[in-house]
Amino acid sequence: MTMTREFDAGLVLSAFDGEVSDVKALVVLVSASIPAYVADLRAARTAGDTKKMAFMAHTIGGAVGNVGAVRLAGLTRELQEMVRGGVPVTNEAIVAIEKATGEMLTSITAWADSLGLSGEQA
Amino acid sequence: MMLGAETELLQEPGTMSVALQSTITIELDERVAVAATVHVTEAFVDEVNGILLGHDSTDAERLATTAEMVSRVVRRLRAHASENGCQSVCTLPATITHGTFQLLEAVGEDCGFLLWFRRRESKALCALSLVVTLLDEG
Amino acid sequence: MNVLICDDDASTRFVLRRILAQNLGWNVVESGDGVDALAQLSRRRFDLLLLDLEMPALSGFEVLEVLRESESLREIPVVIVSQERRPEVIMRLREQHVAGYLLKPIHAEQVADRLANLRLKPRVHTGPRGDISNLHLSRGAPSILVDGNLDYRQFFLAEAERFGPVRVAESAASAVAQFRKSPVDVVFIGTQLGVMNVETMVRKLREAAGDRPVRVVCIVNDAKAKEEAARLGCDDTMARTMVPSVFTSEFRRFVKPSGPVAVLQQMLPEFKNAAMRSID
Repeated sequence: MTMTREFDAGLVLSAFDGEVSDVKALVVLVSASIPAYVADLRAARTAGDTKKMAFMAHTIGGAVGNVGAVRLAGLTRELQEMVRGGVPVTNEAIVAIEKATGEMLTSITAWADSLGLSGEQA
Repeated sequence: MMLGAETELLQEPGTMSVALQSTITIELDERVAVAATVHVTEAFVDEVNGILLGHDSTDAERLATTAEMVSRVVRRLRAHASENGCQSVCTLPATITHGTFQLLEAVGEDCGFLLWFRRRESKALCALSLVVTLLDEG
Repeated sequence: MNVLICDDDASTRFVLRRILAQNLGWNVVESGDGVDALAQLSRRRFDLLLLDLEMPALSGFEVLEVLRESESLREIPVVIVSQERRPEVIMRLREQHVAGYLLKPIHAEQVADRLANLRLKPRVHTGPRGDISNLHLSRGAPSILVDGNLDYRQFFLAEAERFGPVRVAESAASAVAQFRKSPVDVVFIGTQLGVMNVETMVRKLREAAGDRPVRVVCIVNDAKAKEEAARLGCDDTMARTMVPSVFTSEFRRFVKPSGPVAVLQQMLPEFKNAAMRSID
């Protein structure tokens, strides 16, 4: 069973009773939506819109929770707490989220592809 | 007001001997046909003509006035249909003079309406019947 | 069970849909924001709303507030699905009487168990009156009369059957059983119903009807009974009488108009008035 800091394959498979087509559909949805959310988060920081930053961090956290992306979800939670605490959101915080997103997407896409190729369920 | 004559609607049905009647049939949305007929007593049509023409009317003038009355009714009904998005086509007026005066018959409530009017001054009567038939029933 | 999922994240909606449809066999409709969810809720009947809190345009809290102020939607059970863990938020949700709270990330088994344990029932159809006012007795659409009084049943049948077939029941239980077997558009409820009272009978009828609208008419003796009938969930009332002319004038309201005049009146409701105005 694939259990990395990037995502939780067990969680994904249990949500869909191991149904590969559904797993793949979810991965496609996540791959399509998360980069857009992260781009919105970056734009909100550039605009100095802290409310929007908190909102986007919340949205990313909720979405990546569906694939058990613990590390990325943790980073978004930290960012929300920074906003709530009135702490300026640093560029490094955004970069960390962007990096974790890239790693999560690479990892989960490779895993989903392997499901289709090998017929294994991880 | 009908052609200058003050009229009022009667709440209760009257009885009248019809001298002339003029009918136009309107077809609505190719679904129903409404035969609108104005029935007038001799007194009523003569009084209207007296207002319109200022003199005693000839038989031809009585016919023309009765036909004009039903035409006015039908114009209003077609305008109402048009306002409600309903297509209408109608016939030319067919006017009948009764040599002997004929008692106006009732119209069954399921197939039409019979509305009674009278001149305010003289109480001379006229009636409007609307007899409805379904076109798809032949 | 018809469920509406309202969440701005497509992957969350996808996961929830899969769990509800596969694990619980529920019918699921998705909505991507609060505005659309309210529109969907007003258009069709749902038995449950799964609602995210953080959404653009209209937040979950705002959707809840609108629902609780709505006459027709205030009773819909709402389960919040959110990653929000702050106590003050949970307290605020309690005040809005939410049926449950599911924390994200979503775990399939946990969600299925929690929702199954809510023991939700399909909601009774309480559509707008426009839905039922078009329901009539006609030659092709029978109605049911329930009344324990034999004389009244016979009188009702004699007077009503010229407008259309009427099936009679001696008790509410029998009427409900008849309705389940073969639903009708209009049910007339009289007196002496047996062990089942009017309120229970109306509820059973509506449960049996499901999405199908049914017009429930209570036959009443006086104004007080008329008010009571409305409180018990009846759609209409008619006066209880055994005077044929009075009965007919009351009963005609529940009979489908037929004949050429009825067709004309459907096409042009003000036709007669327009004719009157053309001369008067």
